[in-house]
Amino acid sequence: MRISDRQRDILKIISQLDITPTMYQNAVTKYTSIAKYLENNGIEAAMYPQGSFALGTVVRPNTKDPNAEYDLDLICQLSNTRDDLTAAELRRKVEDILTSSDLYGGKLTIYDKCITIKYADVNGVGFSIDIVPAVAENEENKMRLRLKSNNPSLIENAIAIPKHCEKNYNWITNNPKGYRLWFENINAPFQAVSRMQYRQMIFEENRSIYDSVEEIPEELDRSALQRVIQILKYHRDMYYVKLKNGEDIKPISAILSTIVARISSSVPANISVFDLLYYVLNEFSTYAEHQVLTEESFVERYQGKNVIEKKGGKWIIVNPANPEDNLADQWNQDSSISKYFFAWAKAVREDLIDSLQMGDEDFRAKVETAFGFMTVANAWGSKYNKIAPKPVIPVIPAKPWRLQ
Amino acid sequence: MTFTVENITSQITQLMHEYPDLVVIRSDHQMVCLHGDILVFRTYNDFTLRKTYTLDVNIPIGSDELPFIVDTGRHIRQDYHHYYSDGKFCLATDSQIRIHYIDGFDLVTWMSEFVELYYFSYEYYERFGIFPFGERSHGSWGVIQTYQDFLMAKDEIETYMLMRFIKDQAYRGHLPCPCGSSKPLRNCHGPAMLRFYKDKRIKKIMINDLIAFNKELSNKNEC
Repeated sequence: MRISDRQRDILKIISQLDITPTMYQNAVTKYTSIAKYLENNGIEAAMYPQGSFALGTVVRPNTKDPNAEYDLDLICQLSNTRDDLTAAELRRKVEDILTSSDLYGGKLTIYDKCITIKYADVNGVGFSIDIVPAVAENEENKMRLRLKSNNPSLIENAIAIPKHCEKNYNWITNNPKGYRLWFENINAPFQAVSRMQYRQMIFEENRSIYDSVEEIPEELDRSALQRVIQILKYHRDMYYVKLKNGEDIKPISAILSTIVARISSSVPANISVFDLLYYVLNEFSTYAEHQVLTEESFVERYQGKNVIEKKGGKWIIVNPANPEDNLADQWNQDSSISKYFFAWAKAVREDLIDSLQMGDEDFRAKVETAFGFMTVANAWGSKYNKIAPKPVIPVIPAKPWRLQ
Repeated sequence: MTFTVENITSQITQLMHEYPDLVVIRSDHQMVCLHGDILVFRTYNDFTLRKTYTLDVNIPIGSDELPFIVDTGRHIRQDYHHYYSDGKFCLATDSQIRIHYIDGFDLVTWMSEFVELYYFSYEYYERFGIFPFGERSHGSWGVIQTYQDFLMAKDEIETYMLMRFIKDQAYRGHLPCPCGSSKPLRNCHGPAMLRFYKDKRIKKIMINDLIAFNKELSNKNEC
C-alpha cells in the first residue's frame, strides 16, 4: 500500500470530473458570440464569467441528478452605472434584444434571476449559459462598502444587478470581478507551484487541440487550492443528492470557495493537494465546535479563527468582495444546514483521508461512496478490488422495525 | 418453520461456508449459537459498505421463535431506535420474515438479506440521517406497513381495508376493489391480494396480525 499512489488515483478521478479543454473552448466560443450579438444590436457590454468557470473549479454535474447540468454564469455588464437607469429598464433592455434574436430567441428561458440559454447536451449532460445583466455600482454605495470592507481595493469592481421583488426589479449589489481578483490573489502562489507540471500533462493529452504548451489557456491550470475545492464540490454533490431536500440544504459553492481559499491563505503554497485537504478538513472540524461551545468560549479557545463566525446566534461567512453579503444567510433560516455541513465534512475526511490508511478493498469502498460506484469503476477498472461488492437489490428489502 | 437438531446441521454447515469466521459455541436441544465475525461488503445507490462485524447468531431449536442476532461487537449505537436494550436487532417485522420463508427457512439468505442489510441500513442512516429502504413504525403500525408493501396499498388505512376484505370475503375478480377505487378487484389490488387467498399459511399469519391489531385498537379506545 503506497499512500502517494492512492492519492494520485483519487486525483485521476478528479481530473476526469474537470471540464475538458474542448468543452472549455466551446463555452468561450459561445459566450463571445453572445457578446458579439449584443454589440451588433447596440448594447456595449463586458461579458465575463463568474462562479466556477471564473475560478477554475468546475466539476462535472452528478449524472445521478436529473436536473444537473453544466451552467456557466455570465455577467453582462453594460457601460452605464446604476444611477443611469432603473433595474427594470436594464433587465428589459437585455431581455428584449435576446428574445428578438433568431439564433437565441428559441433557446431562452426567462427566470427572475437570470436569462438562460440552453444548448445541446454535451456527452449526455446539459449545457446552459445563465446571463445576469449588470451595471457598475454607484460611487455612493462603493464608498459605504469600502469603509466596511477588509479588502477595499476590490470594491471598485462592484456591480448592481436587478433582483426580482414581487412585481418589480430592485438593485442588489454584487462583486464577482472583485471576488475573482481576491481568489486569484490567494491562488497565485499555489498556481505557480503546480503550473509547469500540470500544463505539460494537459498538453500531452490534448495534442490535437494545442500546438504548444504555451497555447493552453491559463484557465485550465489547476492548483492544489482549486483541486481541493473541486474534490469538496463533487463529494458534496454526491452526498447531498441522497438527502431529503439535499438541493436546498447543501452548502453553496461560493461558501466552499470562500472558506477553503481563506483557510489556504495561511498555508505554504508548495503544499500537496492531500495535505491541503487534510488541513482544510481539520479547520472545518474546529469550526464545528461552534455547535457545542458558546460564542465567547469559541473565541477564547480559537483566537483568530474567523472564517466561519457565530455572532449573536447567527452564522456569518462574509463575502470577501462584498462586506454586506453574508454567504451563510440560509444557515440562519434553517438550522439543519449547519448541522449537515459539519456531518458532511466529517464524511469527506473518512472517505478521502482516513481511507488512505486502510486495506485496499476498504479504501476502494470509501472512494466509491465518495464519488460514486461507476465513476470509480471508469477511472480505476478493478484496481484495489479482488472481488466487487454484492449489490443490494431492493425488492421488498428488510426495513428495520421494533416491537414497541 | 421449526428447526430441529436434524434439519439444522446442513444449514449451519452452509452458513459457516459463506461466513467462515463464525464458530459454533453452543449446540443443544434448545439452541444453536454461533459467534464470530461477518464481512458485510455491499453496495447500493453509490454507497459501498465494507466492514467486519462481530456478532452472535442464535437459532432456537424445536420452537416457532425466529433466529436472532446479538450485537456482541457493540457496533450499533445503544440509542439507535431499531435496537433492543438486550443487544438484539429488530431486523424486520416477524411476519415479513415468516412470509418470506413460508416454504422453509434459509439461514444463508436470511443472513445476507436481513442481517447484512440491517448493518447496511444502520451505516447509511448514520452517514445520511435517512434510511436507504425506509423503516417501519414501531409496534403494530409497523406490522400493518409490512402488508402495505405486500399489497401495494397507498397507506395504512387502505391496507387495513384490504386485510379485512381478505379475512372476511372470498376472492371474486369482478367485485369492486375494497380500496374504493370503484375498479374491479382484478384490475386493482386483486393481483397483490391473490397470494393471501392461494396460500392458507400466509393468510393465517395475516389474520393473526389483524386480530392482534384490532385488539390493540380496542384496548386503546377503552383507555
